[in-house]
Amino acid sequence: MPEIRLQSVTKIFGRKVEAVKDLSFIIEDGEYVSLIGPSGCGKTTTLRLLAGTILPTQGNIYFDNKSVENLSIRDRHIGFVFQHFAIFPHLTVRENAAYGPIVRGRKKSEIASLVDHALEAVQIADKADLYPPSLSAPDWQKTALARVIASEAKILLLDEPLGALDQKIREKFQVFLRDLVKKEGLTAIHVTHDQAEALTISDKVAVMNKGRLIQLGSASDLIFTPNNIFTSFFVGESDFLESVVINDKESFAEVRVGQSTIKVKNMGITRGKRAVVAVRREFFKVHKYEDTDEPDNFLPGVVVRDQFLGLLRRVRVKLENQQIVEVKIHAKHPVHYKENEKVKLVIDPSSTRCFEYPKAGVASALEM
Amino acid sequence: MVAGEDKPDLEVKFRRSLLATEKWLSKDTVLSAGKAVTVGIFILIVLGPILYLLFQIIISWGDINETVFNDPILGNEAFLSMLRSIGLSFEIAAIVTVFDILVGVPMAWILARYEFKGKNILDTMVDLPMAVPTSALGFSIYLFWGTNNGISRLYNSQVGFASQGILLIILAHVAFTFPYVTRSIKGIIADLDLDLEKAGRTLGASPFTIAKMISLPMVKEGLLAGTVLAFTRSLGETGATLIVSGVYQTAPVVIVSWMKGLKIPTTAFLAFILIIISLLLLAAVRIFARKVGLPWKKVFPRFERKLSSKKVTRTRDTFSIALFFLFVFIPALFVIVFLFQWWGGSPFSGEFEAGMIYQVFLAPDKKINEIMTALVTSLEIALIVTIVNLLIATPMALMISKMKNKKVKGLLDGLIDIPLVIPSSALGFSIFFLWGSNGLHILSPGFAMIVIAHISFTYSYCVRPLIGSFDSISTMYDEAAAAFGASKITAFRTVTLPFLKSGLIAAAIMTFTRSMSETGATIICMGIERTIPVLLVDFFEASTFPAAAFASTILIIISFVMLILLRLVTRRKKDA
Repeated sequence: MPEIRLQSVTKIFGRKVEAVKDLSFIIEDGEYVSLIGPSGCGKTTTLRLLAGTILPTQGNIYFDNKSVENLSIRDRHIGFVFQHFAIFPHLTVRENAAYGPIVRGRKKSEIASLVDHALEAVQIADKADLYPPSLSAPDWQKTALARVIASEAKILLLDEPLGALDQKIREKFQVFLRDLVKKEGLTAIHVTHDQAEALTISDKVAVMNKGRLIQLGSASDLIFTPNNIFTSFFVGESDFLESVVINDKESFAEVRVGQSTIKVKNMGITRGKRAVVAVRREFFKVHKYEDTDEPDNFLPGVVVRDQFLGLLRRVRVKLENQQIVEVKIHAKHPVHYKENEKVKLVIDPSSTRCFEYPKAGVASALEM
Repeated sequence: MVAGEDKPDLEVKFRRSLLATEKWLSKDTVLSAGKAVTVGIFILIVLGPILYLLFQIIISWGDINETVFNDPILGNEAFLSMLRSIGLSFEIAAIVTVFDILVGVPMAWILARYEFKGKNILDTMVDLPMAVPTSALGFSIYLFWGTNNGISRLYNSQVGFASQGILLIILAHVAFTFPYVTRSIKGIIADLDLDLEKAGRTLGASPFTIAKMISLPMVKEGLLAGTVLAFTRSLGETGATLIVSGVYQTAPVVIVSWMKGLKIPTTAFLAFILIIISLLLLAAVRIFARKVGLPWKKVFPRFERKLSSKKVTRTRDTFSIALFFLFVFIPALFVIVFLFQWWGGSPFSGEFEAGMIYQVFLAPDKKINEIMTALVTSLEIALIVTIVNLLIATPMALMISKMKNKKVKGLLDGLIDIPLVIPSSALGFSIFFLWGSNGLHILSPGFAMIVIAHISFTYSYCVRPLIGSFDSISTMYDEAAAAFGASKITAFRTVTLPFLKSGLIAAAIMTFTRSMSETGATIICMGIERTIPVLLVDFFEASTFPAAAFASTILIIISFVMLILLRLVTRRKKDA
């Protein structure tokens, strides 16, 4: 059963374009992992390194402890689903599915049973004898998946597989795809630019930036306990408060933001050090400044704008230190805020993260 | 396990050994060897003869110096007549190119932009003169303008409107060269982003100004390529020119006539000069194509608005179409009318012996046998040439399309075009020179040498469109096939080839048609065999016009069928 391991993999294009730098991670057998990150972060390169369409400049790649980094795509026996499907238009759905076993020289009867199983598994048996140009995008997707399943590949690599589908069909397919992978016992690696998709579909999500792995964890890890500034910024949306730690003894540390002191999660930053507090925009609460029955862990500020977004509203608040933070509140929140109205930004300490202040500033940590 | 499964059946055995063979062929070393062979064949067939000619000119400079510049009797008369013929060729090609642009550009515009009934027919009509063998075309044009059977009947004259000479050469050349201009920009005009033109209109520019300042600059590379092709085609044409030139000999015709007189060194020198000129033209275009600007920058808003008025545009369109029919289409196909005029006898005297039926079928020399033999020879040659060319052109096209090294790719891409621009008589001569008694001494003029000459000059017609076909196939299909374990050759057979089918058929039809219709190189490389375009020239020279008309009509019908096939194939590809 396949377990995928990358060990210090580096890929340099040309002389010095470092697409992937010193990448190491392990994907367990049967796991569904998504790769996300900004454009050019190296996620697609990583996928191509795994597929073998490109070979690493340095480092090792193991499938089940077998080193494969020098094997070409032909010999890795992986299943690849392309962004534009790449199903062969001159072959029927059935012939497409049979392509793998045919070119591997399997016997006729074996091919038939593999193909029948694959077509059943993706629920396209009823269109088996049609040609792809007469089908729709979801059926192309299914055909591409049937082709992989019939090829008996146990590692499935997906490059933006749902990118060409409409939003509604996409959401249905996420469930379908995950169920299929689990039922067939595949190990899947899925590259996408759609965070919601990654968080919905995968066991684990790997966040990449500038060719490096930033964090690998479950969806809830990334949302609730990101372990670095970039993840808090890239997955979902956070505001960053520059601060200094003034008490590091309790389970909640005390930090000073401008003139105010607030409690935040204690993540081991010692007293007197600069820190960056990350708060998800949805985790702030906004209250009128006059409200006194609210907890006292808050930052005072002035409303710049209260904007309707649909299901949510975005309230922009200027803090005492002139920083503007964005807060997301429910659209049906009873109070509407006026410009220049004084408010409290109430913060639940348990839903904050507190990171060491990066030497080159917050902006540098967010550079893509 | 079902019973009998342990014994692989015949299909599986066959498939496994095929896959194994393909895997072996896909080895890097084998593939590299294949590439080397591909380039080797290209050099042998196309570059070799030219290089050999160049080499011979240099090492036997003494001989040439004597015959060309210092003949004991004629002095440098040979050189002077070379210069005269080249000068004449250039003059004609220049005038022809101007007409080509005047007729070709509006025609391209009409075909690309307007929707009207019969557009497809007009489109085919425009291409037809390019597909018809030039000797048939030249003969037809001569009949129309130069004899009392054609245009002069309208005003009851006993002689033709124009006699053989420069005017007729120009008319003939325009007919088969202007489609190059039309074709080279028609597609580009159709693909232009109409929003740019709309943007121009919102800023107040008239359609003429927009065409001049926005649309035409975008097609200029295509236009230049088409113009140069038209120019070199006119410069190098033999078949039609032989018929309409009379005493005015263009350079390629001089090659043919000197060759008939076996003046090998002088012919070699003239062929050499023509080849060098063509290569310089080709190189200039490839280097400067991107850099040239269109000459007119200034805008005359009021004047140009007037030019854009409905009246003017309609007049212009009508005028271009009228020009096309009067000067190209009707003269080009007049030979068919002539055939019917002379079907059973002379239209003037009624004499049965002067008619086509008697001349072709009944006269003691049985011309029909000659025609049938020539036709079979032509078909055999064209078929062999097409098959061989597909076999050697496909790997070359694939190689160029996939090549990563931009410099080598550009070089090969340029070399491929050489046979397109060299006068076929000069190319034919260099092939005769290399393979015949003056060179390797492997072949004497005859069937095999014609085949080699035809392979050589149709090579580009085969490779060029195939490169386009390969480029248009997305690499993801190749990757997909590889992901499932297909070796490179297996992927080629199972995935690339099906995509390529219509491209291959199109290339095959083009090659076949070109081979069927060639005259210049054939005359030089032939022994006693005649291809049908050459036979046509013979008939013409023997003044047996009705028989020549019969042969011409056969050729026109074949080219027409080929053209229709080509259109069906390429159209189906667009629909898919």
